[in-house]
Amino acid sequence: MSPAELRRELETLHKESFGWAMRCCANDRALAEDVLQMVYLKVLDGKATFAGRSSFKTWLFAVIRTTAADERRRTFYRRMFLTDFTRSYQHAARDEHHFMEKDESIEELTSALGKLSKRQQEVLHLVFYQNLSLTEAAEVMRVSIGSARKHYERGKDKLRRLFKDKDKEIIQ
Amino acid sequence: MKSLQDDDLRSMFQRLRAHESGKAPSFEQMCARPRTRRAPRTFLRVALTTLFIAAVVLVGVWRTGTNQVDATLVSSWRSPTDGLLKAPGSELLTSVPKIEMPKSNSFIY
Repeated sequence: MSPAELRRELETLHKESFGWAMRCCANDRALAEDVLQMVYLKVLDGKATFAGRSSFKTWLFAVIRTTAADERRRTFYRRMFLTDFTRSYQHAARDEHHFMEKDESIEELTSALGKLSKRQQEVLHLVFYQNLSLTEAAEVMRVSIGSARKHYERGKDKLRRLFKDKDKEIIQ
Repeated sequence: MKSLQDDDLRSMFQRLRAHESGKAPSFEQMCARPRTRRAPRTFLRVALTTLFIAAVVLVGVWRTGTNQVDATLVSSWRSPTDGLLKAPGSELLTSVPKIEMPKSNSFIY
């Protein structure tokens, strides 16, 4: 794939990639932006090369996922040694403002998603938000299809239970 | 109460997607951002790794020297209660008895 083609593909998938980066960075917007920029640079500089073994979208999402995991680990160490306090404080304030702008149903969904395991969140996001098949979601998450299906079913069950409990609370 | 079906979940996620996609920065904006600085961190990592390797090598060399000294000491060590193992007549067990031929042997021939 030529650099111009790569750039075009990245641009086409940009909004979806940003949504996935947000999920991989636990809704930390600034971190998601950093991660996405790093991924674009990796791809455009040829440090991450697409071999064509899967679709471009699943490959790109897998790169975003691993880069986000690396960055989250680095951020954890930076915060542990208190070298990034100002930055994280600014992020939190900005993200809170961003969160307050959401409508109620979206807020409910994000809070329910926060109660699921990381893998469950990832697979539900990939299937329902990104409209990927379970096989593609398994490829992005680098797990077997059986494992992806298990996380998918458990995640859906938990979400249903959480929404049921919420409805019961409202009725009472 | 009717539980959430896959379609309900999908529509909720699609609402979230519509909400988030409106807030995403543009692709040009992402590419035009100043690059996240990586060089100092890479330099620091290389320096720390080199220091670690040097420390491991130094400790290895130092320990090898110490082990040789220890081996010498072990070979020359004697128990302080060794003397108690010496019983009267123990030399009989460590030496071969001498049998001398009697002089009267010549008489037989």
